[in-house]
Amino acid sequence: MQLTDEADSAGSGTLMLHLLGRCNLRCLHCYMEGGPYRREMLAADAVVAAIGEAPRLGFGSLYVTGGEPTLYPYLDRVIEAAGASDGMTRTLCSNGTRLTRTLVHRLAESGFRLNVSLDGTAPFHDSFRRLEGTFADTLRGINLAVDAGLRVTIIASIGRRNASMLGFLAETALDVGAAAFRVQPLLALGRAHYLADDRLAPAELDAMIMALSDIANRTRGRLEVSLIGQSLRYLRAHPCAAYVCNGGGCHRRVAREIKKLVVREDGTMLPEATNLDPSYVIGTLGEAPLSALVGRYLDHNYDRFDALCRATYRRHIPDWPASIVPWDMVLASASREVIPLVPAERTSRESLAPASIS
Amino acid sequence: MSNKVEKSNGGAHRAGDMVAKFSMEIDDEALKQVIRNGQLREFAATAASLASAHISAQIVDRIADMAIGGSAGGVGATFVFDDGDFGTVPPRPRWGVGVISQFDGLQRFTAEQQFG
Repeated sequence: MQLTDEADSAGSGTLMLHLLGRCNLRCLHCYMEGGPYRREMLAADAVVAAIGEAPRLGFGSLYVTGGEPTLYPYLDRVIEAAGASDGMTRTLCSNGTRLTRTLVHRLAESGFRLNVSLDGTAPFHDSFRRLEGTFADTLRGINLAVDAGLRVTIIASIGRRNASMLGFLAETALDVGAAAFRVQPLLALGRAHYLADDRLAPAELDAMIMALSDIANRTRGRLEVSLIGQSLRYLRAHPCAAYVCNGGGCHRRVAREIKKLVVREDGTMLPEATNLDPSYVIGTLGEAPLSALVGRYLDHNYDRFDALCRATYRRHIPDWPASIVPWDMVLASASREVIPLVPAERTSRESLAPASIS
Repeated sequence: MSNKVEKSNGGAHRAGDMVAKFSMEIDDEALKQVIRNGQLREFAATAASLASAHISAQIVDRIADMAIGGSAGGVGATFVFDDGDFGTVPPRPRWGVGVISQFDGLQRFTAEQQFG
């Protein structure tokens, strides 16, 4: 299996910063429920401090997003801090509509990559983004970024209504000079809860995977094409990909781990999944150094999240009906159930031992 | 009605010129009932649809299996699986990560032992 560049970076962890909740769009599927009315925003000093501390703590990837991160009034400071932090890949995730020549050059100079969402033809994209002209604005932003030398990844959320647009999206990605095209099957998170009828059924997901595979192999060498989500096969073989650490049964003896640390727009920090119930919060950005918050979580507050992962894995993975598992969504949904999971429900780690790994 | 996709011998996935073999068993009495009800075309369409979905699922499952083992790497196949949510780094095991102490920032280990 081909690993991504990010996975090869110095640290293994991912730090995902949601700088603010505000966005110039109100997309139908937004998992963050971003919009012009949102007011939450991270304190710039705390963001800069966290970025400075992240590489030493083991973070190898930084994702800066929102809301729409270009609306963050202190974005220049964030870019500068990230550019000064060696050992991390840096990615700005944007809707692309507000990119300027100055900004994309600043991002390029600081070693950033750019992830931009594009969901289909102009009429579809504009309706999905609930603003006419968005498709054209996004393409203009992508062109600016490519011209500035940024590595651009186009990310498409795919449901029933735009599954037939995969080819168009891949061609568009090639035309604009994007380096990668990633497909996110539509999730039931945030505002997308209202799009339940648009989510792909298992058979439709299989058809989409095969179509994407054909696109990937026909554009090999020109465009990196990939699907966002864990394969069921993979999760069954490697429970640790579902955050189920296996301790003594693990090929690298990891008993507790943070793979992704999510900082929400109000400063609360969550392990692994952006839409996890707030009761699983690790701490608040700025209340203490990142290392102290992570250490406190791993040493004292890890068991509840661990129990959630184990129980959710046992409940869903054996009989999961589709070839792809949106694990973070499943986990987030489980975390919000009324009856809380407690460490007492924990079972032996051996029962979840992964298959032998060569 | 039951159906299955069979793998051919020796772990290879080709039997002659076939990639896979699909078979379907239909109970005689059930088929007679379908005929009597005048639902033969409907039954055939449903069976074809089920077969298509079943075969697709098997193919995707094989691809997912190959992606884990990298068994098609020799023929230059590109797999599309396994990126992290919202385009972030996927939560896969970190291959070859060296364990050098009980504490390493984002991780806690069970023993001091060098791996990877």
